[in-house]
Order: sequence, then C-alpha cells, then structure tokens
Amino acid sequence: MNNIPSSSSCEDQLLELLVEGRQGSSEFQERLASCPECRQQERHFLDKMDEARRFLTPSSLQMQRIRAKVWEEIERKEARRSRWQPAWASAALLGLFVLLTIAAPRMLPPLAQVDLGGASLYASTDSLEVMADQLLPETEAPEPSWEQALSGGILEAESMEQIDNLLEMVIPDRGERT
Amino acid sequence: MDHTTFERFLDRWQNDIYRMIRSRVNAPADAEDIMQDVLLKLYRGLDSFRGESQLKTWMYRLVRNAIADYYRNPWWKFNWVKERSFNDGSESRPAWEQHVDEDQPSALDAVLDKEQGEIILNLMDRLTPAEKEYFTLRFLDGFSLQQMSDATGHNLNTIKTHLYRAVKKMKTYLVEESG
Repeated sequence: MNNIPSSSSCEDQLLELLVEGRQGSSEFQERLASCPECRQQERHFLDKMDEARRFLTPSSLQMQRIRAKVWEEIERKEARRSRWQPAWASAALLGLFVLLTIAAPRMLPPLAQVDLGGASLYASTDSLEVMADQLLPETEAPEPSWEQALSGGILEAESMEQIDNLLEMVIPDRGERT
Repeated sequence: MDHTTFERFLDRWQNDIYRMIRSRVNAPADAEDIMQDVLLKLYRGLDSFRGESQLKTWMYRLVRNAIADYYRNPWWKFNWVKERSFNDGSESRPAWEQHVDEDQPSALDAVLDKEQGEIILNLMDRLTPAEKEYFTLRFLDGFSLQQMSDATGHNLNTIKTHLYRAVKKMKTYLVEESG
C-alpha cells in the first residue's frame, strides 16, 4: 500500500471532506484547495474504496448467469400463472354457483317474513292455521239453510212424525221410492 | 413490465445491486441467490414504482429486506462460519469460459484488485455493525447523506456521528495495514 501522509493538521479537514463530500462551504473549499496533503489523503482513501468496489463488482459471466436464472424464473412463473388461470376461473365459478344454490337461500330471510302485501300469510301451513284460528270466528260463513233446518229440526223434533215431515221436506221424493 | 425495459434497467443497475448485496453477504453463492430474489421483486415492483422515493433508496430497502430474510434462514449460519471466500464463482466454470470474459481486467490486475478489495472488506469487518453499514452506504453504494437518511430512516446527525467514527477508524486501519 502507499505511504499515507499522516499530518494531524489535515485530519479534521479530511474527515469533514470524506463525510460531507465536496459540497462543503466555500471556506472549506478554499482550505482544501490550499492543502495538497488533504487532497492527497482524500485521493488515497477514495482509491482504496474504488478497489473495494471493483472487487465487489460481478463479472459479466456471473451476471449473465444470474440474469438467465431470473428470466427463467420469470417465465416459469408466468407460464404457471397462465396454466392455472383457467383452473382458478373455473373454481371461482363453481364456488359462486355453490354459494348461490346452497348458501344463499339459508342466508336470506324466510319467505314468510318477507312483506309481500299479505301473500306471506299463505306461505306455510302453520300460518294458514293461525290465520284460520284468528279469522274464522269473525268471518264464519252462515250454515246453508237446509243444514240449519236439518240440524235444528232434528234437535227440536218431538216425534217420529215430525222427523218424517222434516225428511219429506228435505227429500221430497223419499216417500215415492219407499 | 416488458422484458426490454427490464433488460435496460438491469444494464444500468445490476452492478450496483450486486455490490449492495455482496458487501453485506460473505458467501458469493448466497449473494447470487439473494440477487435473484431481489431482481424478481424488482421485476414485479418496478411497474408500481412511482418515484415517491428515490429508486436507489427503494432498491436498498429491497436488498436490506432480502438480506434480513437470508439471515433469518438458519442455513446462513453454515455459510457464515465458512472461511470468508471472495471468489466470484469462476472456479466452478470451465477454463474457456473464464478466458472469454473480455471485459475483465488482466489476470494480474484482477488478482491485485482482489487482494486489495479483500483487505479493505476485512478491515471494514472491524467496524461496529452501524458504522460498517453507514460506511458501506457512503463509500461502496455511493449514497449521499440525505439518501442514507431516507433509506435508513435515521436522522442526519446520527448518521454523521457514526460515519465520522467509521472513517477515522478506517483511516487508522489503512495506515496500520500499509505500515
């Protein structure tokens, strides 16, 4: 290695120069210009750093090898992605189908709870029965007259003759057949 | 990113990236693996790079993360205990392949450079980790103080303090070495 001038007067300037670079103040630049020893030490130090940088620089063959491997890897990944793309698309479609056919109905509220303007009342047997319980007493249709007559007549009949008369009234041709 | 653009990017930056890695990783083979990993990440990420941070700063972060992953891998210890070997992998290549490496310096220059480079890097190993990192960033990676601050997230005064110490030590080590 070269002999390095080791004057302590240059020490601080050199340190400042190396750490701060050459963008120091004009005063600093003037001092540096007037100190050949500082410049020599700076040059020596930077030359050593250049040697280290050259040593760390890869050879062109080494870089060719690395680049070839990188391109190989890139192409492999791109090929794999393009190979798997249809499979992923199919899987996504299948998943969507499963979701719509199986999961979605469970996730949606039951139809009976959906307000469809009264139609929900007819959605299930249960609700139909509830409706019947609730609504029939109020809207019960009157019994047909012949039924009223029959039931009322039987219950109120006092003799077989009255019953016969009643039956005659209900079934007019009863007597002719018998 | 199209391949031509990435090729151009590699032409410009590959040596800087490799040096960045190689100065922090002892085993050349591992440095190559890390380099490949970093280049793949760059290939994927360059499209989204919008210059919000400087390219060099961003690359440094990628390299740092890749090296951190490398050191997290338990296998690195096996490489670490191996004697520091600064070969570039050329030993495993056939002789004809070594001779066609035209843009390399002459054999003697290469050997001398190799010796000097190896000496300097061994001297740098005597610095503290922080000093070595800042010293490497400044003198091997060519970062400005502001870029170092952006890349590491540390303030300028902290960086300068470490750097002053590192330069002072390295000057002393170089004098000792030459003496």
